[in-house]
Amino acid sequence: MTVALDELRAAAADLHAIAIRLRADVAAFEYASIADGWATATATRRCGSTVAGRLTAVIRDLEQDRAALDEAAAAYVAADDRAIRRMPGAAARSW
Amino acid sequence: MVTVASLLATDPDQVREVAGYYRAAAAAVAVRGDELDATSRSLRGGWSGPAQRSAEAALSGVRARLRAATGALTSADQALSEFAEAIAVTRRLVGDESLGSVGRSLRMATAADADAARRLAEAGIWFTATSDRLTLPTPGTDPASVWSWWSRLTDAQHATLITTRSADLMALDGIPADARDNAARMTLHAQSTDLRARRAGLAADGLPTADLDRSIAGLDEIERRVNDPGSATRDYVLDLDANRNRAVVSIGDPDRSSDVVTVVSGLGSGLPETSADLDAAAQIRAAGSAAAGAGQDVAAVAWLGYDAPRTLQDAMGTSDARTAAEPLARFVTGQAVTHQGSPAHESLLGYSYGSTVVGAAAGSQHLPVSDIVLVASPGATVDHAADLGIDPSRVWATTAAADPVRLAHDPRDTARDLLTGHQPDHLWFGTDPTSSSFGAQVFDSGSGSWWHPIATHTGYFDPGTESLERIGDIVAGRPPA
Repeated sequence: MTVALDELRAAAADLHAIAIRLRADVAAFEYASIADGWATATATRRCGSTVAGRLTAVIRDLEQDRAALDEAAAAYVAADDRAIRRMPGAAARSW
Repeated sequence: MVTVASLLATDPDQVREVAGYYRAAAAAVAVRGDELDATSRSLRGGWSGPAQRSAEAALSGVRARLRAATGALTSADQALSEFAEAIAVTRRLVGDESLGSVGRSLRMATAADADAARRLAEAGIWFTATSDRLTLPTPGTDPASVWSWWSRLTDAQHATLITTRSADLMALDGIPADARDNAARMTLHAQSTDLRARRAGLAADGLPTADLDRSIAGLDEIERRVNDPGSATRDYVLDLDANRNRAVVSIGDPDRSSDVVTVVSGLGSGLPETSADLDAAAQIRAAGSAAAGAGQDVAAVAWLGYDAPRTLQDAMGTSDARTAAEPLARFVTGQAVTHQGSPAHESLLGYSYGSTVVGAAAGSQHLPVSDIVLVASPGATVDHAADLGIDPSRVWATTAAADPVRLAHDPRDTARDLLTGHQPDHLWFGTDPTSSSFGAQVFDSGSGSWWHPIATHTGYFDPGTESLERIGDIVAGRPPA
């Protein structure tokens, strides 16, 4: 097992940044639809809602993963050398 | 049932704008996926053990959902873009005064509405990935077999293949254009990132990067262009391989358009110069659309699917053209196989050395095209229009008087001429397609400028030119008188 704490923290920050950008991406299309009077108008709204819902779940998971990475980094910092060797299982639980 | 009032009240540009939102979102979400890949890679570099594997599995699951979302968003963009095209076409038809045109336009609009609504309703399928282990046809498989295989799969299997086997899928002729486009767009940003990484590696080693710089610029231009949310046309990326210098892009959906032209360019074409070739295809499509009648819509494909000669010296032989013949024939055949509804009116246009490629393909195998257009040709490897496998009255040729390609004579011919007499009709790669002995329908493209021979050779697709107007007529199936 190897751990590079800087990589772990950087990855957590990356996930947070991706989640923020993804939130803006969703906002850009979520409510776009064409004028009423067409079946396509209703279908566009449903499609937008479906994809936005899925991406919102992805954003939530990215933030959870970020938190787990931060927890893992903190756990590694808190442990002494012997404990670090035992850490994989503990860190895995945070996932 | 759609009414005339609702049809006239719907602005195609407003529908295009909504499609553009989805296009931009698809591109952005694809980039987020690539960012997540980079994060996973960096984690793998500095962390190992069960926790890392658990983390990687979690991120991989998120990555798969981002790809699914990209597919769904691209599919929505396609559906809305084609719906906008259909609205535009049917609105023109309403304005047409011929008998029955209003009823026909309303039927077409109703069908287009149902089709777009059905495609949009399938968004959820992208998130139901199947675990089926599917074996793809090998590259080079004949398009009819590929199409037959694809047709037997479910929508969920299609979505899974597009998101997990995108690079393999887009290279297969016989896969529908919307699926290829979706697959190609999955790879677009990642290919750009890979090229940049390779360039950084070369630069770090002190090696020249000029070729890669040009490819990166070409790829950037394609990415900017096909993702442009404000574009008046929807571009379909049918194949894109930066490592092999290949790009095949259609302006408009070739599977749903009534008239499709495939444009093959010549010397120097390839990824770095794609922008110029896409401009030419766009102009040809615009000219075809202007000539098209009510109810017609035109797609123009820029086919850069071969190793085009890079230098004049490379262009002195036919080996590049003959090597390109088979993939070009396969592509054109695939296009005919995947076309929806009535068969399209298909044209094949070769420009400069591209006309040699077209001649080599049409002269060696059956191509499902109605018209062949040879523009500024140095010869098409055949001596007569009838050798191209279609009705010779549907083979068209033009070369401006001042085009230097007219001077492209093989020195061996000069020697032979000394012995047997001058053959002015013989160019570098065969009989001049504009000569009477070739037997093509020759149309005028003006004299060009003797003072600007290069501009003359490159000006056939410039807006407002006689040549472009005639080409538009042919592409729309309304041959010039």
